[in-house]
Amino acid sequence: MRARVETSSWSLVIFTVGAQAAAGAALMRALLPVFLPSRYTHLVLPLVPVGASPEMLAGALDPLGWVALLLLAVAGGFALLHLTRPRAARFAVSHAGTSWLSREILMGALFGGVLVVDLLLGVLGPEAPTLHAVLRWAAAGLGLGFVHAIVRVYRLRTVPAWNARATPIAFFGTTAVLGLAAAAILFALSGQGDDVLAADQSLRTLGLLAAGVVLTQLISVWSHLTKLEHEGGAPAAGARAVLRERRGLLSLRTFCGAFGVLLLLAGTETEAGTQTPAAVWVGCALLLLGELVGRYLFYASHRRVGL
Amino acid sequence: MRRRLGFATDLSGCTGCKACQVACKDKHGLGPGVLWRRVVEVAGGGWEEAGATWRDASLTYFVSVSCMHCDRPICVEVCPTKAMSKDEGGIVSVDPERCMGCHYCEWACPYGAPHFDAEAGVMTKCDLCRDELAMGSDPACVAACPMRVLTLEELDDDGCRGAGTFPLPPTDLTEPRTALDPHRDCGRAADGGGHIGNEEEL
Repeated sequence: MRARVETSSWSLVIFTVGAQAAAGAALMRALLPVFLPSRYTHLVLPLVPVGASPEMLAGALDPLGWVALLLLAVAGGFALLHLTRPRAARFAVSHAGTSWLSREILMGALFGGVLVVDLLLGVLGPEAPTLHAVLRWAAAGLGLGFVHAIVRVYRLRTVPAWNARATPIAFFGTTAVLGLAAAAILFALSGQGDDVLAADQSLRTLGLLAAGVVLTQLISVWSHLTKLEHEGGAPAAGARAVLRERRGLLSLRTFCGAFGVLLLLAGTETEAGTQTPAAVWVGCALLLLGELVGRYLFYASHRRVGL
Repeated sequence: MRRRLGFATDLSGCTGCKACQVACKDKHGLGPGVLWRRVVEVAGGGWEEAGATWRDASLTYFVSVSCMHCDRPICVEVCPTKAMSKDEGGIVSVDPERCMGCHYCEWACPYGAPHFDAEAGVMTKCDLCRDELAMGSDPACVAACPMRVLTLEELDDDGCRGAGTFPLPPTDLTEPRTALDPHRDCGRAADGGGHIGNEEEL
């Protein structure tokens, strides 16, 4: 029987989307202190008690960093679920010379390692702002490198539906949109009950950026699949698997992306002091669902040339 | 010039009996759904009007396919654990101790050669019946072919003769080491007149 990737793909869907969300959170963690420094110091984890001391918020906790690490840990767990002999995974980086899957695992480990060191230094280590800045940017860079390696894993020359520009657009798009969503949720949480959030429009900025990314992703995937459908053979079969055989899921993916960003933007239209993050929560949940369904469809489009 | 072993098939003589497929499965004790060698049935055409009558313009031929032991094997290239390797003699094989069951080779191979053995939890594939070769015998599939159209030959570096025959993929993807003497209908099938008739079996 011919291999159908989608039959075993749910663990990979969660792995790739989770890993890209982690890289996105790490990227936001590096960018936000530069572009929105005043807002970044107000970010909190949902677990932080109300009225925590400023030292605790600023020094001991790094919300987006911990979110990134949690996402990466979940993603790594699901990656292992996909293997039938996880004990042989000890050999998994031994072919980094030519195998992008080896390189992906290596990059993921480096990304996680730098993140852990940075976060542990934040909790246990002495004050060292320069070191933290270096590690924060290193983690962001390694996160992007990790996503690049994941892209290359799927750019197989024998799978036309994957070996296209739409793949990096989709994967880096997931990285950006889920990184923005993670930041938006933390902004919404930290803005509850005060007027800081409504005053500086940072959430709205994130919503607009997410809208641009989602729009680019949707246009890219539609144009890629429509073009493939006219090529015949394996490319057309891959496109048909999504455009014809899973039309409902494709509509769901489009709906979730479009309404997710609309709700995210709607969540920013609140007056000072009356901030209610429900729209932000639902919007971000829809964005996540859209990315998960989109990734499932990506796997469903796998058709090799030949047999 | 390197000379390496590869399968050669005269497609015009293959009757599609699948003795090669069965012999392979039997020798290696392969479980349900695991096929290291498969026989692809290519079908197409139909009846065509010729003046006042009709003539048979249908086409049928069979392509017996196993691992092509490619010169640029994509399974070896992508395998993260080095479980897939190509030895000095050109045989591509799997080391089950190193295979972690990620299925990546299966996704990538355009011949669908690596097959997952669910019982063992590892990828498996044709190894050219290494044990038979060591004893100076032919691989099981070759020995079983009643038409003697499937053979094992020493092929030159440029030895992928006819390997792009429909429905096989373009040879530049992996540089397969095989030689096919085409059936008379191969051209018509490649021009869009043929399709795989036993897709569910492959």
